[in-house]
Amino acid sequence: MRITKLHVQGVRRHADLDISPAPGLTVIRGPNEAGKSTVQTAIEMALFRKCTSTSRELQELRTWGSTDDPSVRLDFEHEGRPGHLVKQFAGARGSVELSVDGRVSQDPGEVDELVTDLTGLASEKFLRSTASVRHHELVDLDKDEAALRDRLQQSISGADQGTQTARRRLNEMVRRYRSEGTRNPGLLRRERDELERLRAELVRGEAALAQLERDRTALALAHDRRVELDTRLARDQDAVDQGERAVRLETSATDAEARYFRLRQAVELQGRITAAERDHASAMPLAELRDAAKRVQELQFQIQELEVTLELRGDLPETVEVVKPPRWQPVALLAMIVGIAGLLAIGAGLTGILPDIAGLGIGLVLLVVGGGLGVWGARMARRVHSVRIQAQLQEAEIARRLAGRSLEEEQLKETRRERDALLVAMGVPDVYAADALLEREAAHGAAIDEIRAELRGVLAGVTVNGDLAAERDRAAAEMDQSRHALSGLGGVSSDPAAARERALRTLRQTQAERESAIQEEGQAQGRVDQNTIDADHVSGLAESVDASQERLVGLERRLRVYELTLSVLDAAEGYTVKKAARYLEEHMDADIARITDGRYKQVQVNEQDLSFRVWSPERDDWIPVQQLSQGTLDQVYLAARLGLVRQVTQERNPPLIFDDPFVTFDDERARRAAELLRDLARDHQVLFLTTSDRYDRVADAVIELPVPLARDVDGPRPERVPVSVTATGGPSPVAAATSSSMASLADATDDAPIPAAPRSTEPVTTAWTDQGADVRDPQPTADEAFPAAAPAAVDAAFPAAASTAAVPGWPPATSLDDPVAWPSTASAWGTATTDGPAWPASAASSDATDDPPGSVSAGAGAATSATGAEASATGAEAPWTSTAWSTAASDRPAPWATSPGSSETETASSGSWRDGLPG
Amino acid sequence: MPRLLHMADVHLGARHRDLGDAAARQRERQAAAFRRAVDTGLAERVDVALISGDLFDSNAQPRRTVEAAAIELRRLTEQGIRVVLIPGTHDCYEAGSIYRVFDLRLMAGLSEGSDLLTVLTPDHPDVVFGDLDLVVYGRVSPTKRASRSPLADFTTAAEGRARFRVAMIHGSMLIPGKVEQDDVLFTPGEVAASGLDYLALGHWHSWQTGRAGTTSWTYPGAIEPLAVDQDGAGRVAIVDIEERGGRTQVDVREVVVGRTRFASLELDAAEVVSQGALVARLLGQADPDLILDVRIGGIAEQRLDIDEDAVSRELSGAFLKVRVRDRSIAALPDGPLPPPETIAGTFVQDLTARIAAAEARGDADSAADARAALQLGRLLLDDPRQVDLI
Repeated sequence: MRITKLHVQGVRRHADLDISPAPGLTVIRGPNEAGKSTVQTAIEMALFRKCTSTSRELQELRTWGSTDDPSVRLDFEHEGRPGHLVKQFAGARGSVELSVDGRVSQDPGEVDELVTDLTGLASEKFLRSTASVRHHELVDLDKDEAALRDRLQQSISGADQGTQTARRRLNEMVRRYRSEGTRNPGLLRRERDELERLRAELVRGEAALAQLERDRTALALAHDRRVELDTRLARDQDAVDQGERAVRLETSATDAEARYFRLRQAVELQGRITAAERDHASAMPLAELRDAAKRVQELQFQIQELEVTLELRGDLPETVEVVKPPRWQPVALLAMIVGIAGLLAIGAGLTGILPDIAGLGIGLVLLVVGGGLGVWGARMARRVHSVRIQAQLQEAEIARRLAGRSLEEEQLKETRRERDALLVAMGVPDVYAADALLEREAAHGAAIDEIRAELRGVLAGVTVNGDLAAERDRAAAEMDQSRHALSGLGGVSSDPAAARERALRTLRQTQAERESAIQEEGQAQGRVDQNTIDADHVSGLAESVDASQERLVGLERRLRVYELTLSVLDAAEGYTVKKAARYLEEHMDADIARITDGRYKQVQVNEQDLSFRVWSPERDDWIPVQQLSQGTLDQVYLAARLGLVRQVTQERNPPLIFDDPFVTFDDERARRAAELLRDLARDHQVLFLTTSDRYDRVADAVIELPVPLARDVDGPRPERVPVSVTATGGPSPVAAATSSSMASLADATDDAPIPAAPRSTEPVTTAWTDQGADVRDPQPTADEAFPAAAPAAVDAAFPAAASTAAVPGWPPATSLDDPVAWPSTASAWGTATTDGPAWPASAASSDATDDPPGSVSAGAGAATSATGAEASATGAEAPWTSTAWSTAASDRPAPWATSPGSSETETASSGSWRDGLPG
Repeated sequence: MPRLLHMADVHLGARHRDLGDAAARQRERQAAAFRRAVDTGLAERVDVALISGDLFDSNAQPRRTVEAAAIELRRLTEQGIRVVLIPGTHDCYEAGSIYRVFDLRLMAGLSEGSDLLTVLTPDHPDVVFGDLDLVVYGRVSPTKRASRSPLADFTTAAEGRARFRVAMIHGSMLIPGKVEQDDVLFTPGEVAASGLDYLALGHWHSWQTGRAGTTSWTYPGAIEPLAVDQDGAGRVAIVDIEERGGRTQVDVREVVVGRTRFASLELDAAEVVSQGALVARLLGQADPDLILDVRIGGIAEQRLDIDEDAVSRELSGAFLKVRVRDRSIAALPDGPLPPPETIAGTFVQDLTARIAAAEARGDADSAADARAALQLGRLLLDDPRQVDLI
């Protein structure tokens, strides 16, 4: 595919641009801010950008200050047939039309497919990584061994940034997930540890809960068991009580029975006694009988004695003379009467009844008489008493005498009477019978006593209240009652004691079991009380385990995806690199031979890392390409780089865009690179974007873009944001010009689109329309707006450009070959370096401001200050730092040869064997 | 004419394994719903409160959970409201049953002989409230899995102790084609044959009510929903039983006491442009009572990589719980692919082949991984700086 015409409308600084690239090598040249990168952007937009891009994306594409929708038309020729691709970017209203081989498609998806088919390029980014060679790609190739293979790998990566960053980030993530270190464990390890911890805690918690349930079950069972044993114990106690009752009943019955039998015997004995009592020989009790018998014996003896005595007495008088005593009572009575009369007389005398004397005299006489009578009577009384005693003595003597006989007789009578009475009482006729009776009665009594003794023996220990027979009957009743009650107790009645023993044994066993159950219950209660596990806590753990598991599954899945991505990426890279190595080996021999003028003809490509070796006939060995001269190395890289483009585009040969990749080359390197471009242009259409004119001579066409003319000279100045880049020193003339123009651009965006200002020397292939002039009319004049764009300023900043501008086309062939062709450059840059750190990258930086969003410059920071954005871009991308520049400035005045590797001093010091190498 | 409060499946102390750190709050909410159910009973001046099983989520509940329940029950008994409950399948009446270990009656401050709180068990299968002319049967299995239907051979035709007959069962009613197996199963025919006036059921977590023969039955559902598909949960039943025209009439009405709501939200990944947009969108449905299960399906845009945990964390204050599951399928790259001669092209080809192979053998997980890897690889190769790897 070759572009025949590019028409750009409303894209950034190109409000309306037509360019017609040559089929071969076209140099698109212009100073910074001329819109070179916009040309590349426009091609990328035409080929790959969605016509339905969002308004935000469009905003970044639109010509500054314009509201018109951007559009790009690409006329091309494909295998000799014309076609065109038109894209109108209008958000959802955007449209696309592709015409190729007579086929017209307006379907965006189909157009994308067709474009890929035409170019072998799938995306804008893929174009940049393959068909676009950027200005930094050839830097430091000889210094950094990995640079060549990394950049080549990047070109076949199909990715904008190559695979290195992707792999690095994936590796970082895998490490972040997989790290097993204990001090800084990975996400997976942390989550697994957490899950393990939670699971262990959960297992402990669940076990404790299970134990709690078991303990509670055990407690409930122990409780039930204890309650059951309580019941059993009560039952057993009842059995024991029943046994004891049976035993008591049996004992009672036995006792009653024994008592009954004894009482029954006692009753019989009692009967015998009663009968014997009725059969006494004498009605008199034996003792009495014995006393009576004894008395009878005594009386009989007395009778015999008295009879003997009486027989011996016989002469006693029968009568006795009795003396009668005198009577003394009349005397006494008379004395008392006389005395009383005397007293009465005295009394009468005293009272006057009688004369006092008479009365007293009579009374006294009478008293004396009475007294005398009284004495006499008393004598008489004493004599009477004495007579009576004598009489009594006499009588007593008589009686005694009489009694001597009569008493004995009386005694005899009395004794006999008593004896007889006793005999009568005894019921016996005589003393002999009495003795016999006594003997019989004694024997009878003894017999009764014997029975009584037996009775007493029978009743020994038996309490008898009342009648023996009643007692016997009570005992019999008690015995029957006990026996009946015992029989009512059932089985135990057969052997109450044994039953009681059995019941006691059972009771003791139950008690033991109950004690054990109580102990078990207590232990179970203790275990339940001691188990402090909290079901809520365990629930929380289970919930945390699930959450952790879910997190772990997520992490594992992410890791699987990362590892899968990484492994497939590694495999893809290995496969692709191997394939590319083979491809390059097959296709680069001729290139190498041409590049080295036949010195090297064979190339060997490492299929692991795309490192190159060439066969050195001098060494008779393979040598790394890094040992070739720098210029040769550039060419080998470019040949390989573009060879890979052929491979990855499957030799569809898309247009190649070079974004000033040789800007830092010295003349020799630039010359050789230019020659390579010419070779490339045989197979590819090459668009070479540059600020320099030194490639003009190899170009089939040179398209010069106009210098932006707007300058910030009038009007209010925008507030500036402090920029740290000022630390690099005072601005160089180039930097000053660039920053000035950048600032003015920033101002210009506030006003109106900046037209492509016509220059005094119109590029031959640039078709500027009149629109630019029309648009510019309301604005200040070009010179006013862009005073720095005056030729002098341009010359100062871009001396080479200035000379090219004056003579469009390829400069004299010597200009590239001869270093002295760059005197003005050397002078200009020499001045710049003398004045302070230069801004050699400002050109690249200014280009960067045209980069689409997402490019380095956009990523480096918002372009509030153009200078700031530019400086950031410089720091981020430009390897030619002020240090590098100062080295280059001292050895090689050319501002383009700023690569540290370009130092000849360094080259010389690399080794003598290099001296013989080409370059 | 007795008025009953009928609730079931309170599941105090339940585990909510899918709620993570919100589970503890949900347990508290269940206790609060139980409190509101008791409040309802008090407000409705019911005569009897029936709890048809699973008052507790397990028999291993700590004493404080049982005490908390007893405190609530005491509020009823102090007003003279009888409480009758039966063990369920979670708190079944096995040896270590919570009803054996703890004496709810004593814990509620009642004496041993009080009929204000009755746990019906196989040993104590019914209770008669003479003043209400009501007999309540508890058809309880001594094990979690009943060996036979709790209503097998059960009839109240000969019941002469009370006019109104109510039974409580914790189990499933057999519905051919829908519910055919469960730990405790009985048939509508058995319900119809029971001669009961009202059958107070538990075990199903959503409100269901119906009639079999002359028997009205109700599943009031869980007092708070326990899972996403329990839209009918969070209710208790107020049951009025009365005699009208010689026939027993049973009126059942529901009262909502639960507040937790579960909702699931299916999002098409194509509609989710970024994680921030997802969070903003979900915030539009913020509800502190809502447990939201967000599932992102469909084809995910290439740059969409949802950190589910981060989204859940960001929304944790706005919902009771948000769970975000990104189940979207990574979009395969559209547009022209990198040429096969490139690393990216080979990468795409390889993973595309892996996806096809995994899909062919029905290995959805591997296919999903490969799709995600393909998407991630494309993004990384396109511009590794634009991808936030987490």
